[in-house]
Amino acid sequence: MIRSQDALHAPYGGVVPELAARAHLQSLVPVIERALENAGTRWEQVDGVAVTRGPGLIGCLLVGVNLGQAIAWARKLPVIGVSHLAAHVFAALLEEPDLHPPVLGLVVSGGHSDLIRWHTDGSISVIGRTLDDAAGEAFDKGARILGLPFPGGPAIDALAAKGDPRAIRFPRPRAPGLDFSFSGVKTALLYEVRKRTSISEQERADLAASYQEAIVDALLQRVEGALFPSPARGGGSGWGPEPTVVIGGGVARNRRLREAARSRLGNTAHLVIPAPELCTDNAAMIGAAALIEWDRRGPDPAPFDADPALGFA
Amino acid sequence: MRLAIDTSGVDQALVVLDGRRQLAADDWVRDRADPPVLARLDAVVKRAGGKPDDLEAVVAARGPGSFTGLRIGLSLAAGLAYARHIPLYVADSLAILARRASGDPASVALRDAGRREVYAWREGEPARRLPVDELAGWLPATARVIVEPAGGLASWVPGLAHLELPASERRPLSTALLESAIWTFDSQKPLRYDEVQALYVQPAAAEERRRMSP
Ligand SMILES: [Zn+2]
Repeated sequence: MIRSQDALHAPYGGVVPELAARAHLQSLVPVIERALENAGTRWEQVDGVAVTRGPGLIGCLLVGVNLGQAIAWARKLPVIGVSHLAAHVFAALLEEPDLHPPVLGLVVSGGHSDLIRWHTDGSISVIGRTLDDAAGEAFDKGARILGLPFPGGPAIDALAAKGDPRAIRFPRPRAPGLDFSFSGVKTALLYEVRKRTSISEQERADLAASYQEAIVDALLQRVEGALFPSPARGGGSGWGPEPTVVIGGGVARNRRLREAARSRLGNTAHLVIPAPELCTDNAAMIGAAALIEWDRRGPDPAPFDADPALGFA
Repeated sequence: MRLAIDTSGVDQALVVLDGRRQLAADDWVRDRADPPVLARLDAVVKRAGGKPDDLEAVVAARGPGSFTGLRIGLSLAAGLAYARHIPLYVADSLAILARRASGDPASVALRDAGRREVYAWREGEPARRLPVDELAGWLPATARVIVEPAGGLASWVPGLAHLELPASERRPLSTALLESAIWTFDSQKPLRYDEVQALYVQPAAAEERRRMSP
C-alpha cells in the first residue's frame, strides 16, 4: 500500500516539508488500515511493527515513529526502527531472499547518492557520497531548466526516450575517489539551454537524453570504481568472484540507468535492481530491513525518537 | 481508563483518568534530552495501575503550539486510538492553557509563536496568530490573561503586564488537562483518523506560499 504525495507537491516544483507532515498525520492510519485489509490480516495476526527512524523530513518521521510505536505499545507488540537508506538496499531481498553480504549498494534518490558496502557482519559503511546534489535532485533541477514538471526524474526519463544521448557531451563529474558531484553537469545544461534562443522539441529531447546519460554514466563509473579498484580511483576488493551489486532508491527506476547498469555490469557482477515499485519509497522495503535487522540485533528495547540525520544503521 | 496528552507547549503533561477521576499524571518541561514521550506514557499508565488493553478513549492537544510537540502528541493519540479501536478526541491547546488559571479559567490565553508573533485565544473565539505589535489593540482592557512562557506579556506589551496572572495563580498543566479532558469527553464528538490535524503550525512564509499557490 503506497500513498504518493507527488500530486500534492507538484504545484511547488518540489516537496514542501510542512505539507508533507500535514498529509502524513491525516493519511497514515487510513493507509495502515487499507494495507491490513488488502493483506486480509487482522491485528491479532500481526507479530511486530517496523518503522523508519530516519533519515528524512523531521515532521514526517515524527508522525511515523510515534504512531508506529503507539500502535506497538497499545497492542503489546515488539517494535524495530530501521534506516530508510539501508532499506533501499534491503529492498533487493524482496526479490532475492537469499541475498547476503558482501554487497555493493548504490542508493540514488532525491535526497541521496550513496555508494555503500554491506559487510558480512551485517554492518554497512558508506564508501562514496555526493559532494553537492543528489542524483534525484540533479534530475529535478535539470527538469526545471528544461521546463519539465516535478518530479523531474520520470519527466526526463520519458522525454529522453525520444532524444539522442550523444547529441551533447556533458562533462562527467570530477569528484575524487568514489564520491559524486552533479553541480557541474547541471550548470552545463543551464548553459546549453541559455545559449539557444529557441529550443525545438527534438532539441529538448536530445538535451534530456544527453543530460540523463551524463548522470547515469557518472553513477556507474563509481560503481565500477568500487568493484574494480585501480590505483587512481581507490575502491575496495574482497567482493568475491562474482560481486553482488544492488541499485536502489527512486532514481533506480530510471530506465536508462537500469539498462546501462545491465549492459556494463551484467557480465561481471550479480546485479539486482528491484522492480521499479520497490525502488520508489515503499513500506515493503522497511519490512525487508526489519527482518534483517531483527535477525542481527532484535527489536528495540525501549521507545526511540525519530532521527532525521540517521545514516545507514 | 482514559488518557489525555498535551505536548503542544513548553510545559507538557499526561493524565490517566478513570471516569472523571485522575489516576496518575506526569508534568514536565520540554527538553531535547528528554526520553521519548511514549516512555513517559508507559510509566504513567503503569503508575495508574493500568495496561494498554484498559484504554477506553484518548484526547490530545491539537495546538496551536510546537511543530514537533504537536506531531508527537497527535501521532501517539492516533496510534493508540486506532490500535485499540477506541474514540479519539482533540482539544484546543490555548483553552487548556486558560484552565491553568486558579479559580475560573483565564479569559485570554497567549502562547509565544516565535518570530515576534503570538498564538492568541479569547473565550468564545478560535485561536489566531498575531504579531506582538497588534497585541495591545487586541487584548480586552479587563482580561485575565495567562501566558506561556510565564511573564511573556511584560516583554511583549510592557504597559499591559498587569493583566497577566502571576505564576502563583497558575496550576500545573496536568490539572488543566484533566478538566479539559473531562469536558471534551463529555461534550465533544470523536474524530475520524483522517481528520486529525494540528492547528496553526506553519511558519508564516509557508502559509503565505499556500495561499498564493495555484
Ligand atoms: Zn527513499
